[in-house]
Amino acid sequence: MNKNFTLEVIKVLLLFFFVLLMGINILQLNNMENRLILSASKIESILETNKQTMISIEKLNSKIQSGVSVKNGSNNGTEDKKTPQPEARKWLHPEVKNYLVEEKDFVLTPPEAKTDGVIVRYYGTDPKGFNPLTVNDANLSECIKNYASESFATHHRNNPSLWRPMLAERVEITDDYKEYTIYLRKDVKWHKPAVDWSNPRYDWLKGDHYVTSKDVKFTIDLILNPQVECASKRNYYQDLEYCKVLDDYTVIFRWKTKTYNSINFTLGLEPIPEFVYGYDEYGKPYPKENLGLKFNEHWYNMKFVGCGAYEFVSYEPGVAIKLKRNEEYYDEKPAIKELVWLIYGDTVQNVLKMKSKELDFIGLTSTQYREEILNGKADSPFKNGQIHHQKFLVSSYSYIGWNADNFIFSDKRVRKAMTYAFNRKLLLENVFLGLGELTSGPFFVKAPAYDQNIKPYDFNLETAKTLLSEAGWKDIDNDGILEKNIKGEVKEFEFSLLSFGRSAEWKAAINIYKEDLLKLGIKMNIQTLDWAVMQKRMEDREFDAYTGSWTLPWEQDPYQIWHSSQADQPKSSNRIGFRNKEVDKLIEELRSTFEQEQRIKLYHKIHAIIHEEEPYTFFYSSMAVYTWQDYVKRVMLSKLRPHADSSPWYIDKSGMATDSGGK
Amino acid sequence: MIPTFFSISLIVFVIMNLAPGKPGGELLSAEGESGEAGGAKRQAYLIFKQQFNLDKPILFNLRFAIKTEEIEGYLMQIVNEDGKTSGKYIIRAQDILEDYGEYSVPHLIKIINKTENSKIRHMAISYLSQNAQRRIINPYATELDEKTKEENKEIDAENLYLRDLTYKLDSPEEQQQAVVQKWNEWYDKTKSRFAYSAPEKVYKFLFDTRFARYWWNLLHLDFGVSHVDKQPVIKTILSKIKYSLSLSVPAVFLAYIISIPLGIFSAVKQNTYYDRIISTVLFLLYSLPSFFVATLLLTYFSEGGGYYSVFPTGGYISRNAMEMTTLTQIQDVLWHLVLPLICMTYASFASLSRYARAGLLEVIRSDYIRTARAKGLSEFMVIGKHAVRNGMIPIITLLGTILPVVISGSVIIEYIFGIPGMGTLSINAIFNRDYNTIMGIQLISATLLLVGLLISDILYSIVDPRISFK
Repeated sequence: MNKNFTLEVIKVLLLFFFVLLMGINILQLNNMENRLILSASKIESILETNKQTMISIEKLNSKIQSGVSVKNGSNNGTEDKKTPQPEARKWLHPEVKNYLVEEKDFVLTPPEAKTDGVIVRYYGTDPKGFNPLTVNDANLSECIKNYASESFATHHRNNPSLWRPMLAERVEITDDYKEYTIYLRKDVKWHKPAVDWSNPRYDWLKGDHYVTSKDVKFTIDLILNPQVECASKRNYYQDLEYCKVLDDYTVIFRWKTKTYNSINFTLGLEPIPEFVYGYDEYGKPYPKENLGLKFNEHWYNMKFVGCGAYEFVSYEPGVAIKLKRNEEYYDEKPAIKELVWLIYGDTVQNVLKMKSKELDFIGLTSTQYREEILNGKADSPFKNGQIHHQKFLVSSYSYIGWNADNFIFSDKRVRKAMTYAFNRKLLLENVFLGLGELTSGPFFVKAPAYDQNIKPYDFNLETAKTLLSEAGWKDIDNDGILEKNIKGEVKEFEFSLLSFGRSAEWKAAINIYKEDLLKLGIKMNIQTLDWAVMQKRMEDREFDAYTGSWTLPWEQDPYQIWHSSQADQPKSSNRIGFRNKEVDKLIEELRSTFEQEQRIKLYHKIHAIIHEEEPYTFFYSSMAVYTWQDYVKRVMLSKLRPHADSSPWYIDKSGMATDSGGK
Repeated sequence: MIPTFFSISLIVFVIMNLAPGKPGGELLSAEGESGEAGGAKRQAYLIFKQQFNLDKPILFNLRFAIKTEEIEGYLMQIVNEDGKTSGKYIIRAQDILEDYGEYSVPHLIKIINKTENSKIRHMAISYLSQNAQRRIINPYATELDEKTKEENKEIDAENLYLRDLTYKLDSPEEQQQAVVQKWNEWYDKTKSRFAYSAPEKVYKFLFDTRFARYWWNLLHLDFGVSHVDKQPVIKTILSKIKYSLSLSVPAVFLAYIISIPLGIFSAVKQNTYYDRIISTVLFLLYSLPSFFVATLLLTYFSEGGGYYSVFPTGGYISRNAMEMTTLTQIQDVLWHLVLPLICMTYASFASLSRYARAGLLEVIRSDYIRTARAKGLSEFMVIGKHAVRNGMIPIITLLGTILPVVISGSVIIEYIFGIPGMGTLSINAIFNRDYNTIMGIQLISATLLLVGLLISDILYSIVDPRISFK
């Protein structure tokens, strides 16, 4: 008994001892790991500085060499060997002026900017991958494509009708605007793919890869390959006659017809790297017959390779997307070093994360705008200067679309009456908190295409009533609802409106509209739907009316939404079945007109006709409310999409107490 | 078990395919549609449909028996000469003709030879050049043998030839006739491809369908690829499971640890004030919806909430996790999980402790407990050793049914706290009409439910010697 007892005690003691040992062990391991991580980060920073010095040495070297050659030249008189300098390139048509103009009136990084720092933003849902052609996601192009991918040229920031060079240093366009000769820069490298380099399987990806005309050709071939799921892009290049490679850095695009859009499509083309997308994971090229299908689900789809100012670092589904500055970028580098987008679905977290400084820049929803800014307490960070905000008109508009194939809305007087009955001004000011501007036509309010002289119809139930009775709608049986005799059949004015269910403001607005319509004797049934269902209904044309919105590019081609050839296309954007011969003609003319003034005239004519026909009840262009932390400096919002391009911004936390400095 | 599994998959499959909305629509941002992205054209959509077998009928295939007149009717709708057909029917007819694929080829050939109407002939030929194309064998396989490769090259060459075998509507009559001639020649050569024997028909009837194809892949343990990101479904699910597990396992553990003692306590103190207070509080908690509590917790207890900034605002791990040691990483994850755990556990206290209480009460009244008391054992021994052991048997059964919940996660909690687990995955899959992912998740949880039931049955027999399977 006694012996047993001591044994037990010894056992317990031993156990205790072992637990203690284990605890110490864990602590030690933890300590070691800590040191390892510290030294790893040190090594990384040393490597970084090494790289920097290497780059500057190389620059110095090339400077010295060119300096020497110049000296030699001056010593030897007129005859000298020309060293390969960029100026030495030969142009095919030297007499043609370079279509690209350097942007001189814009400074990307002012001298006071800190070239460091991270900016953290919000990203709603997981992207559907990063495939540069098949993924057609507006959010993604604002995040990845804008920073990591690059086109031949792009619009000037201050004057969107001019183009500034990016990948191309010179573009020659023939007089008929059919042939584009593009000279690529010779010093643009693709980013290093973000793969695990310690794995020998990826050895075939190593080395420097330059952006060449081969990549351009590869991209165009893929876009035109019917196997690739990029139908909307393929549509753009339908009229391309050929894309010819002259040498490694010169490409010719020739178009069949003279269309204005060819400028956008040619200069806006973003090449993709063949050395990644043409091969499978083991470095074997894909066979021609299923290259397109393979490309749709390419092994690199969850990552991205570009050639822009930022390169892709990592994407963790549901967690974050990270980009870092491309230190080998050929042009002026932006100031912010790292871009991070946190991914989570729930927008409630937005404001909280903003207050805790986990996020640096977000757009507020209108509810949040009301709660935090309109009704916010004075000591809240949104009010006391810690977080700045700005309302910004986004190039888009909301509308109610009327199905022109429906017997009710085939009459333009009815459509107009519906607009007169929609109390737009009141709704915008009270329900939508004034976050927007009323619009009267299919173009962005602030774009030159929009005719400022055409004012939106005012709210007027009397006018609506007269219009309706002109169209033959009368209350025949005195039940308060209008009727019309159509081919011997008496039909009531009753229709249903499809509405996307997530917006509380729209819900309220439609209900007010419903009341107003009832005063006229019109019965409107509201169906709030899930987006996928609503889309299916619209594709199958099973609707009377719906609420929707379009986001617009700066210079819009109205063909997609307004041309009557699109009315019977499946999945087309002309869902309401708008057919108007005059507009068709104007749209076609617009497509082949290049003079700005003439174009604007045409745009205004289209605007006028559409305003008269009123196929949509145009509502408003919405405003986004952008907010950012005080330490994000020089925030400027650009006229063009993406509006919140962070390239000219910089982060300066020096004025800040360093206690909380977010995670 | 296998028949149950089969019928579960059948039911889920049919419901999913009948639900309104369809996959592959350009699912853009939830707020609306983007102007530049609209108007995806037919061809790419067809490839999409073929990849996911959406062009096949759902359960049974009767397409070998379609009539030429039917096809001609659809063509007439598409041509829409009198302008009376509304866009809705045109689009539907286009969809149907596309889906008919190879089955429509002999009929279309008949139509182009027979018809007088040049527009219909033109339309028929454009459908022919699309439907007569054969699909490349195993286009998504990583490795193909030489023979298939050769065959594929042949198919590709033929497809290229057929793709261009069309003419413009306004081209001269001779050219049109030449194209028709070429089609006839091609058809004479390949006629055998479109004539089906009786066994072939039976095979097509049963197996050339969406469901059969899906099951055939399932038998190879292939759940397919997601419609949205084109990644294998099983890979995505496996990568999400760790997030859900680290949330749900502690949640279940906590719920049991807390509610069983509570249940026992209230059984022992049955009908006293303690019992009543516990019951009231637990039922109050039970009736609070978790999304509400979650939002409250976030606004009051998270950083940026302003009241008690203790916990992080959602997420699974901090952004600088790469710079942490393992220990701090664990600590960080736990810190992130506190609020979601609270939300996931508090509601189950009520039911679990009720089960424990009821189980124990039943036992406490039985004879052997009275005997044990009569033996003179202490109350603690009576309850702890004799009663609890037997009283907890129903709780064990519950454990089995919890397994699928553990894996499939909590949709609401994960969504609100931004945890990228299975719950978030399934809600996104449903929003995107991502059939393969939904099916994958459903089937995995169905399997787990069946396994869980089996486990609880086995546990029963182990714990309670009175139950046996003989």
